Amino acid sequence: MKPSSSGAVELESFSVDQIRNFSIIAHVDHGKSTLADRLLELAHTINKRKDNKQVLDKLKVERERGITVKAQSASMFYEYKGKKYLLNLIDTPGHMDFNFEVSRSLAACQGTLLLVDAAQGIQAQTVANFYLAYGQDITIIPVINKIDLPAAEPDRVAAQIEVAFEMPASDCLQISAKSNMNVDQILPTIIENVPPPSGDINKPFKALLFDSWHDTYVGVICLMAVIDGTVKKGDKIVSAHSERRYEVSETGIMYPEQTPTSSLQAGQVGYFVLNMKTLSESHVGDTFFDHKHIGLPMPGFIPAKPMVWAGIFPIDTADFEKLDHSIAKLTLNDSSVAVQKETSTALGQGWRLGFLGTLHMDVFRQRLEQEYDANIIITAPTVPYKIEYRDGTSKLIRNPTEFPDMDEINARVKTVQEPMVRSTIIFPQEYLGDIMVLCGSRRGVQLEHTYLDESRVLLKYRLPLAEVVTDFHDELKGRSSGFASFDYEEDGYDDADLVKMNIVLNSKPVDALSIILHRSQAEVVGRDWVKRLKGLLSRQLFEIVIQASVGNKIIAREGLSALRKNVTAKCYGGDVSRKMKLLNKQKEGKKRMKAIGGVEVSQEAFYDFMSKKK
Amino acid sequence: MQTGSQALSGLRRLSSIATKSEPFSVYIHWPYCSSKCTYCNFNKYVDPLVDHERMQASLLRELKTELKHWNLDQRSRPIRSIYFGGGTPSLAKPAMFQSILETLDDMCNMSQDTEITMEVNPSSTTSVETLKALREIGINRYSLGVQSFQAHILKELGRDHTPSSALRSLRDARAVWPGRVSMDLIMGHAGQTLSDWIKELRFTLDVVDDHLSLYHLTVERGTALHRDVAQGKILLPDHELASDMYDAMIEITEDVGFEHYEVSNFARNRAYSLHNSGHWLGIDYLGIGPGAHGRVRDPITGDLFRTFNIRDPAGWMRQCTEQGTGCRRRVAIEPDEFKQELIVLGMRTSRGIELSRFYQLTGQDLMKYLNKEATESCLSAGLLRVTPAKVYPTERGMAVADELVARLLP
Ligand SMILES: Nc1nc2c(ncn2[C@@H]2O[C@H](COP(=O)(O)OP(=O)(O)O)[C@@H](O)[C@H]2O)c(=O)[nH]1
Ligand SMILES: C[S@@+](CC[C@H](N)C(=O)[O-])C[C@H]1O[C@@H](n2cnc3c(N)ncnc32)[C@H](O)[C@@H]1O
Ligand code: SF4
Ligand SMILES: [Mg+2]
Repeated sequence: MKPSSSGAVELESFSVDQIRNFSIIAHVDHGKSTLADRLLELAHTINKRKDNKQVLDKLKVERERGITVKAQSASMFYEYKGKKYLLNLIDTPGHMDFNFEVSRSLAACQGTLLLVDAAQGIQAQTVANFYLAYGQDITIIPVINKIDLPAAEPDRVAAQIEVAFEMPASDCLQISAKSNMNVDQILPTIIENVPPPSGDINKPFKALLFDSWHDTYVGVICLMAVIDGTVKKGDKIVSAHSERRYEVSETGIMYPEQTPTSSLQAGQVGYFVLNMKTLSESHVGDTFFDHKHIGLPMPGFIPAKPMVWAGIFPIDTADFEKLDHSIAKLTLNDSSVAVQKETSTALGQGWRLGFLGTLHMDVFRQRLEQEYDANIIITAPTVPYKIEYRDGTSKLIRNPTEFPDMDEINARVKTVQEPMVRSTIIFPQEYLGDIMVLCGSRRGVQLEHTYLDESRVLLKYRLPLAEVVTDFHDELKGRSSGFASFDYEEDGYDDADLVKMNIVLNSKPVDALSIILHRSQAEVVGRDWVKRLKGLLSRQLFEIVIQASVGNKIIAREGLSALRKNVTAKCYGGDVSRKMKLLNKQKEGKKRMKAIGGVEVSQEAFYDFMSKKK
Repeated sequence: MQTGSQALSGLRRLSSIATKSEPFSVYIHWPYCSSKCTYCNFNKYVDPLVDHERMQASLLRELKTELKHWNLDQRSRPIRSIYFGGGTPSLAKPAMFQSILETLDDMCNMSQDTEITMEVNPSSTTSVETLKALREIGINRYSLGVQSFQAHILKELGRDHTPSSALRSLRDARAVWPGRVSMDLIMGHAGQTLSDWIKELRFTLDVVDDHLSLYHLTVERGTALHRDVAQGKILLPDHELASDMYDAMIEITEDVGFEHYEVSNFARNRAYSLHNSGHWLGIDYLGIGPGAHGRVRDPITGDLFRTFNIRDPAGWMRQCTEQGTGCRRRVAIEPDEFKQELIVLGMRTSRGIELSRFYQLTGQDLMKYLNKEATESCLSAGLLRVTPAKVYPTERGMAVADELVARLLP
């Protein structure tokens, strides 16, 4: 495909029946990005090179962690049985925190490749992604990847697919994205089996916005699937959500970089530059119309709700401004992060940020640290709790400091509720006992127990989200030698006997260390925290009493006796000037400490405590 | 070399008039030892072929140059103390001590009260006659590096003397300088228990004269001890045990009439070390010899300087020959640095810091200088005392002086 003399690619010749929009969904590491590279090479969207490694994963964190965070898309031109096709691959993130992104990408597709690793078989996200696609009513093509591996068992995996998804084992394609085996069957299968988009080029323009990002030069760029009609530079279109009017200043396709086109038509997927200034104007799921023909909007998305909240504070308070700037910049491109200012007596000024999940939080932190050189402390995550009052009002709590005290609970609160999830856990059968014990100890209720084959088990549990966002995943991996996979979806709210646990240093509560937890766990967690804190604090001139309390009740206590001796044995002459240098360093260090209840707590101690390094 | 032109108005307060009559001290460093101790990072060298003559000539040359440079040859400023330290000064020839003391007597105002200390290692070869000869040429205080009376500890430390030679040296010295002998002991050895230490102390207190330095073994970088500790070959007493040892040492010495007048120093019958306490009080001192450092006021401007000598003996001697002094750096002490130094050193002593002295030296009201909040919390915690005349640490405060000053300083 060559650009025309005007410099823009001409797409007018592609009628709707020559277009296929599809995605790839897979559990992490099953080969989605590798397969995408192969397909783009096959269609000459990118040159075949040795080092085409995950061209669609643009962020450093994506490459490092091997996960796709942002949805991306890429267009391909492909000739099949003498006919030219325009194929749009819409890449989806491969992690449960981003299921929301998966569904928004799926909404722009008519088909998807369900990719399963031939050695690992079905994993938790395979199941979750399958149901997301199933719910969107699109064509699902099962593909078994990595058949080149010595440990590959494609037939067994095909049988699992039949058990879990009721899709005939014989429909599965068996490929190796790495060695290119059978990859050439994929695009023909898509063309044969995935229906073309159903739009009508002769109707007025209508499009679905499914992703957007911010570009420093042109502002917001929107990815849209055009449903009906055509659109070109200079056209005026209207957002159904805001009723705001925009003039189209550029249209194009991702090929794989932004490549302008003379127009976009029904069935095609491409980007729009609309002179939008901020991401808050672009609502994923929004429908755009020709400004003279405003019709019925498409069923929109429910915006992603942040389910994990945490306080973020600069380690050095002098970095506040800089960090404020960095967070603003990062959230410019990730509108799913909710941002509020927060002030902590222990940690100073900071923010309370809402994330889709803990991985989302980790990725955000990593990006702050990598791309913006930030030095930060993140508090323990809190899920949004719901307080229902007797008078019928209710309140959502995102920060333990907002949790009502005992008096308020007794006087006014009807129920305290916590968010629940339905989780899918898949693992080799030998770990069944351990994993059931784990789920039980995390207050889980079993919903389903299926044998995918003679040795692999699928469990579904209903669990409090709070139990899942702490170290559940790590525990799961630990108890299954790394073999268990896990995914979850939100599942409403349940009443729960929740309490706020405070950490108290020499009778002063440390706000940044309070957490909300189930009454039954307070004592165990309290004892653990108090002990760990004792290990992280250094002896000081006074005795330190570290306590955990719930309400007025002390549930755990440790004492750190006063420093008895800290004095250089010998100090004279040139040593004095060396000592003065040390002293000045020590004083600098003290400046970066927070005095709580007269106890000096270094930022490093906070950091180590939060990150559970010690 | 940096020169003294920086303007430091704050310190000029101790005007040249006051400087003219202030006493000063002299430190002379002998940089050679017969072997290296495992814990020691002092500026010392093991050299079987020491050029004694050249060393003596260089020391004299430097002494004269520096006395003149700082106008200390005007006889207006009395010498408070002279200290021959090391290294192992007892390896130097008596003629060296004699020529230096004669020079000082010639050029400056030395008196009966001038304290003249010599630091020595116990040795089986030093005779009473040698000691008497040293007394004749002017040495009037003797400081003996015993370190321990336990053979296995001495071995562990890499010392080349025995408990019995230490005992004999001590007895001989006490006979020659009754009431003016000090000895050093180190506590906190690997494997040492509280009762081991108490036994060592009780034994020591039976034989000691009127002054004792009891040092907690410090792990200094670049020493064999440091390496062994870092590699985990040696485990030293932990915070609790070391604190118990420190507390025991204060209690036991007090029982026999010793006053704990500085973190590591104890005196009976007011036999304080004039030299060291001068240092804590902010009194000027000249540093002579390889690696020595000094703290002296410019006689004209009243600005305070720290001096640093070349450390390696050959290089130091070369520069002495060429330029008359082995000083490689003279740097003005910032007013704030001096204030902090007085506080850091003062809070290590039971006398603490006299408010009038602090004002006289710095022009600053000490109580206004210290961090108010910290002063108050340390007062109420019983770590510090304040009277109209002075600020001083309690016994408990002195034990945590490093932590204390880190809070008290602004
Ligand atoms: N042996 C083999 N390895 C593969 C194949 N496809 C992908 N991989 C490897 O599997 C890992 C994960 O692949 P990636 O494409 O990043 O997976 P994604 O997380 O689903 O995007 C990488 O190390 C790939 O090189 C395959 O067909 N065979
Ligand atoms: C500088 S040394 C020189 C004296 C003499 N050469 C000797 O070893 O006896 C003076 C004293 O400092 C003490 N000292 C040296 N290094 C030490 C260390 N690392 N820890 C504790 N005390 C130390 C010893 O008690 C020693 O007697
Ligand atoms: S402790 Fe004394 S004898 Fe031992 S090396 Fe150091 S200066 Fe020399
Ligand atoms: Mg990937």
